[in-house]
Amino acid sequence: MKLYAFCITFMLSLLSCFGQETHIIEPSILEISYHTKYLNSYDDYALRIGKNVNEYFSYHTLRFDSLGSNPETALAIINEKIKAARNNNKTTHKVESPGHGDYLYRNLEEGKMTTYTQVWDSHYKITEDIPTPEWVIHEDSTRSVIGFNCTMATTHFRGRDWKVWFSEEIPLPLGPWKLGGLPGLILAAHCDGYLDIIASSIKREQLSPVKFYNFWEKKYKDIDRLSYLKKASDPTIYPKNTTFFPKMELE
Amino acid sequence: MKKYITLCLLILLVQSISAQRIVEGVVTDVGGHPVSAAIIKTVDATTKKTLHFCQTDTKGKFTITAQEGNILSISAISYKKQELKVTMDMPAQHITLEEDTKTLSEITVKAKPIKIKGDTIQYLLTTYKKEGDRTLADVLARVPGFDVNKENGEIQYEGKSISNFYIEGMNLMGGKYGLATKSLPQDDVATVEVMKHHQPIRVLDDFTYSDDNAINIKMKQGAKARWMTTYSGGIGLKSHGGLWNFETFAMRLKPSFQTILTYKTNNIGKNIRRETDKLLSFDELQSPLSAMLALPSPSPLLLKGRSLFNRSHAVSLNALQRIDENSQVSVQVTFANDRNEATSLRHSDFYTNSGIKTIENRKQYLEKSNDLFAKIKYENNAKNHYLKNELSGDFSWNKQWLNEQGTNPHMMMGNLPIYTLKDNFSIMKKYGKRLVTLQSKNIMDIRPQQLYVDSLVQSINQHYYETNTDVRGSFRIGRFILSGQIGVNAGEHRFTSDLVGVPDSVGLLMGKSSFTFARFYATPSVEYIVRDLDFMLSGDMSYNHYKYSLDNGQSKVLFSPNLRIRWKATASWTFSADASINTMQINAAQFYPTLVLQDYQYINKGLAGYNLNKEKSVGIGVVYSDALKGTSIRLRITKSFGNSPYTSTQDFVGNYIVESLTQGDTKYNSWNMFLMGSQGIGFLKGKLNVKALYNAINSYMVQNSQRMPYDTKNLNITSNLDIGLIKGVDLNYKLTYGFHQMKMPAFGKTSNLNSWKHEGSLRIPLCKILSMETLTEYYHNEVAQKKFKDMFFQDFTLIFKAKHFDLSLAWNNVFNNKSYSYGLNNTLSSSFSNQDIRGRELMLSFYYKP
Repeated sequence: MKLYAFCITFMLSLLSCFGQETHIIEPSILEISYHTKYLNSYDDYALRIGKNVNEYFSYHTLRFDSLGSNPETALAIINEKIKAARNNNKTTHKVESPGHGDYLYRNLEEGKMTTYTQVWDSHYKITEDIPTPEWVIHEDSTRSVIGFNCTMATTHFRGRDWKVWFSEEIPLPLGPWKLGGLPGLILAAHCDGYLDIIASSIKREQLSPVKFYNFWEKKYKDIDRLSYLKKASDPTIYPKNTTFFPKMELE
Repeated sequence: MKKYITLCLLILLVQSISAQRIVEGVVTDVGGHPVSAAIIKTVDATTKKTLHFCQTDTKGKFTITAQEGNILSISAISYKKQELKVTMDMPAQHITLEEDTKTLSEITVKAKPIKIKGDTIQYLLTTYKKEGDRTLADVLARVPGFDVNKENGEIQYEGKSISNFYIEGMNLMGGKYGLATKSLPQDDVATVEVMKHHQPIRVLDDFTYSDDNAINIKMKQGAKARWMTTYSGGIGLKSHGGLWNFETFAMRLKPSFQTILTYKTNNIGKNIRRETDKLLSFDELQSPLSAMLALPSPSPLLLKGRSLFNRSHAVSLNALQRIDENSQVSVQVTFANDRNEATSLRHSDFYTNSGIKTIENRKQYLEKSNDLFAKIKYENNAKNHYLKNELSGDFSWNKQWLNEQGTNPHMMMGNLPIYTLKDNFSIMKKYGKRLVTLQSKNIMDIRPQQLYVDSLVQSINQHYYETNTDVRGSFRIGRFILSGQIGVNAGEHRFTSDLVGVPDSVGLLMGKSSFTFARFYATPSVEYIVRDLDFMLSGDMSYNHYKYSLDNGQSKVLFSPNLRIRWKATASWTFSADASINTMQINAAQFYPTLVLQDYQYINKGLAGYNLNKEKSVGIGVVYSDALKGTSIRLRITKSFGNSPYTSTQDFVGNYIVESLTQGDTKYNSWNMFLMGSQGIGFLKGKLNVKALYNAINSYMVQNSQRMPYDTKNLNITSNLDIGLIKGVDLNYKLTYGFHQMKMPAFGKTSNLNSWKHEGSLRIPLCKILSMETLTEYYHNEVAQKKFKDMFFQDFTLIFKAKHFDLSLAWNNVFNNKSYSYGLNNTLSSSFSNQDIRGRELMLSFYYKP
């Protein structure tokens, strides 16, 4: 009887997994590159915008994933990692940031946002409604970011105070990570004592299409946002003395 | 009156409400499809200020607050912006947007142009310096675009941390460059160059995105050499004598080159012979020459250094020279001098068909060694190729003395130098869209050694040369990944030996021989991935030619196939199965004609036989992991069937045991199990790790012309529990259990050895700058059949942390336990040893943090 129940649960769990391949979703209209700074580390992210779907991920993660999973180039990547490990030192500037390995997809038609994330060797997929933070626009605070005149806005989003600069010259209610909902594209975001994000360039030509990436052909387990947040912050699931980044969302 | 006022207020209220109203609508494109995420704004007609804003939902609908007279603006990317005036009683709007690509081009024109790769910007420092600037950090902070962290010397350019720091084109400091920015006098620096878009491995350019900046410091012509140093050390007491441990690191900067010098010395049981560089050298050839002459010395690395009585010194030098934009050369030289002592008591039982032979000896061991290691590495990182060559030499002069008293007293002395030269070359080249790698690994091993056992003298001279060069590549066709490797592997073993003092009747005592082999091999593999299944079929095919100087040689064609299937069932479960038929490579070191005395007891005899060992194995594996639950389990079970064309023999000739091989198939079979798991334990705020290894082998050997079967079973379980109930306090408990069984059915005898180890460690912060660590070890080892010995070790350490230095006071082996006992099973023999351990020690150490 117990074996029977086990088999049923196993079959059901088979169904709840998604093992999609890397495929093109739609062509892109615009691609914005963001540079992030966290303590001693830095990172570079892409916000690739299509008509209906837009994605947000780290260029360095994409590079590692695409080259590492390709048998032709895997050896070169391994060599690089070994070199980096040999030179590793507490003061080295590393490519790291909160959410470094995550792929974020926003589907405007469905109004849903999906995050594909990883904890050790387990892969999880978190789906939620596209969040609409409550913004306070400070008309008098302006700043120029990559040639665009931006206005400042602030909000308290999921446990953190964010100060952003958006430009109405680009009519997209989007921004880096999950920030958005302003009458213009967010080109810079700042959270005191935590993270600093700033746009470094905008590309309109020779764009890569908006793609769903799954180079390692992993299977993702569905989990809801709050359960994931609670469990991922539990220090017992990590080895002793792991330093890990405070999460982008605290609640 | 009150009624009037309320009425007036009500009217006014209604008026103001009616002036502000909700406007609804839906936004579509010319085809009627809803436009989601379009931006809707209500703008004040006079001030042009945005009053309210929202975005269209997934159906293109919106609801927004507006006042009469406001402008309603609707905009979306790649559509023409529309504006409407808000009127009284505005009905639900249906807004159709026209496509417009002009808005996009306007956006890009405003953004900064993307920089061209290969830019270098130079800054002349004299233009920026001011009175009072001492170091590079002081002046660099003034240069536009630069940001210097005065605390640790780290540099950022244009808001981004620099990826590499070069001085005169050389990157010796790696991540430690902060020391240079804070110490380099600005007078010595001529220019600072910023190298934009710095690539790690250029051959991968097509696939990369890189915005990394590196800076290069160019020194003035007449700049003096400067020293930058850091050091740490400690002194202490042991029962007879003192203890010391020092380490210094010094860096010298000259306009032409950079060097780093380190010196380490200790007698506290720290093994400094080899730098950790060796850990990542899995791609080198290893010499198959085993230690033919070996003194049965007590192990100096037992119990993590508690058994190491040493006096060690090591000096190392690192230098780096950048040749041009693409290439650099690095040199590393290390010299180590070591003196080790060990004392132990060993009781050994040898099982034979004529009874049990027992030897009980007290051993005194001394080793003196000098080791010189030198490595030169050349790297060329260009657009179409990546080339690397590492040439290294390891010269070790090693002398060992072993004095044994007891059942079998004797004096042994070994002069055991080993000279090794290795060269590893690799090149990765791009042909169109394909990447091909060529690797060549070479080794030369020379061992001119002598062993003196009382009046016997065994001298042996071995030379070994081997090369392994291969080309590999792989490419993807649809769902198939085809990879292959073809190569050449060839080598030669030259052997000369001479044994004086043993009667001729035992066997051939003097002779020389050589053995050559050449192998042409191909290792193709096909991988097919469909949905969640991964099939991989690979095979090793080779044509081998062997030649032994004392016979005609032989040629063989060998084939070893291997099949592996992996099924990613769910996000948490993965199953795998594999099967393989392996024909083992020939052992070049097995071919020699004479007898070689290994120590006072064992003599080895070679065998000229070309038959090879064949093994068939099947295995299954299961992996379950759910990181958020804190669970991870890995299990692997393998069953192997082997057929060896030879049988091990053991002959008791006089006082000696002659070990050799004889023709005759030996079949053996074994079970192997590996389990590794970890689980987070919520209520203890901790984690449990378990690792288990089990193997069982059934085999036999020929002893004095009689076949003796023997079965061994080994089980090793290690479990580790971390508890973090109290913040800042680390508590860890580790339990290790070992079971080793050797069954000898012919004698009806079984030797079982059980050993237990309990280890507890605790780390407590006493106050902000002081913390304490304790380590308790309890051993319960079986030292004779069913007789156990208990041993306790206790260590305390007190650590004091200040801004520029750390102080630690360690009190080790508080109970002054001077010996450690354990048992070992060997083929048809078992032994129990009692080894001397370092007693109670007190050590005060100082670490300087500049």
